[in-house]
Amino acid sequence: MKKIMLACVITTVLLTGCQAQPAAPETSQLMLGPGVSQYISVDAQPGGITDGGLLRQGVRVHNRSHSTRKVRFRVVWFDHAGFELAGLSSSRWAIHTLRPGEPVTLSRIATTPKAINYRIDLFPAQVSQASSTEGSMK
Amino acid sequence: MNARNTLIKTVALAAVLAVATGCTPKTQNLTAGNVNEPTTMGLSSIDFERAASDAVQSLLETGAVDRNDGKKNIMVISSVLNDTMQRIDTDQLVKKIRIELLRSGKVYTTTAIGLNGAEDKMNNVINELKQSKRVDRSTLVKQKLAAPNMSLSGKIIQRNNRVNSGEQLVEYYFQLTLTDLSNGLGIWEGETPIRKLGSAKGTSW
Repeated sequence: MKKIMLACVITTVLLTGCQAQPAAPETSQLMLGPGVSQYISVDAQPGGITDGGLLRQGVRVHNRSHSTRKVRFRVVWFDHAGFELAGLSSSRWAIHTLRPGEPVTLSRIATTPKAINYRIDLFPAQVSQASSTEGSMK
Repeated sequence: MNARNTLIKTVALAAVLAVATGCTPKTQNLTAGNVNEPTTMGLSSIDFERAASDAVQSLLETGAVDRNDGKKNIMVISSVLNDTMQRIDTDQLVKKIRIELLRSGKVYTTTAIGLNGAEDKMNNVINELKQSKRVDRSTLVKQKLAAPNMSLSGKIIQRNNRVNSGEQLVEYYFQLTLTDLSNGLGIWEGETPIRKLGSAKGTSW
């Protein structure tokens, strides 16, 4: 009887522990805007969970052209059902200047524990409105 | 002759109206996440979004709002001073930070306590309901206000510098401090500088 109770307690503790951490993203994507892949090399996609239990994702890139380039970057967060999560972190584009050869890591922390999946958008800083959503998956 | 004059006046008026309408800039709705936002020398929503986003990302990254006892922080908004030449409401910055921190599940903001009294006056008015005979007493909630354990304060600064005869540099600094009210120590500090270079003829207020 004691063994059964002990097993129940251990199982409960394990299940509770598993619930505290968001599930690992399954269909994570990096979307590169028109022409970006011609001068940007993607070196890595670091990511993980912060000490506070929030998803953190980024992309390490370097500009392999001989001139300074400007790109805009954002991370769009999704919940377990695949719905996009609203918030500054998802909607706000940040402009970054990339000097030739300089490795840069661009990252964001999800501002909600509901975020379990993401899409990283990396586009040229200046694009027409019509092509602002066009890009290629990597 | 009279009819001819009237016709000329009507045509002239129509022409003036047509020209005036044609010259009026078209009004547009700018959607959230718009890429080609207009840039101004003054502060716009995109600047407040950047400052708020930087602050929230830093707060979450440093773990300043993390607790390991399972409880949530109660934050009170102290003073955020507007030391710019513009007439702005600092809630444009603070509200965005509050929304994101609430969404993170780590921080509640009290609306009952503040330097100028309760932000939501209903926190005080609710007590007066106890005296009213029109209120069903069984529906009255027992009020027990939560005291804040951290305070957010800050300042927005503006500095204008003439670069040359035709250009000016306008610098804005969004400075924020999170104080642990249990000991009065600043446990997080953040600063987002926003610099704009533009025509010296343009105004930034």
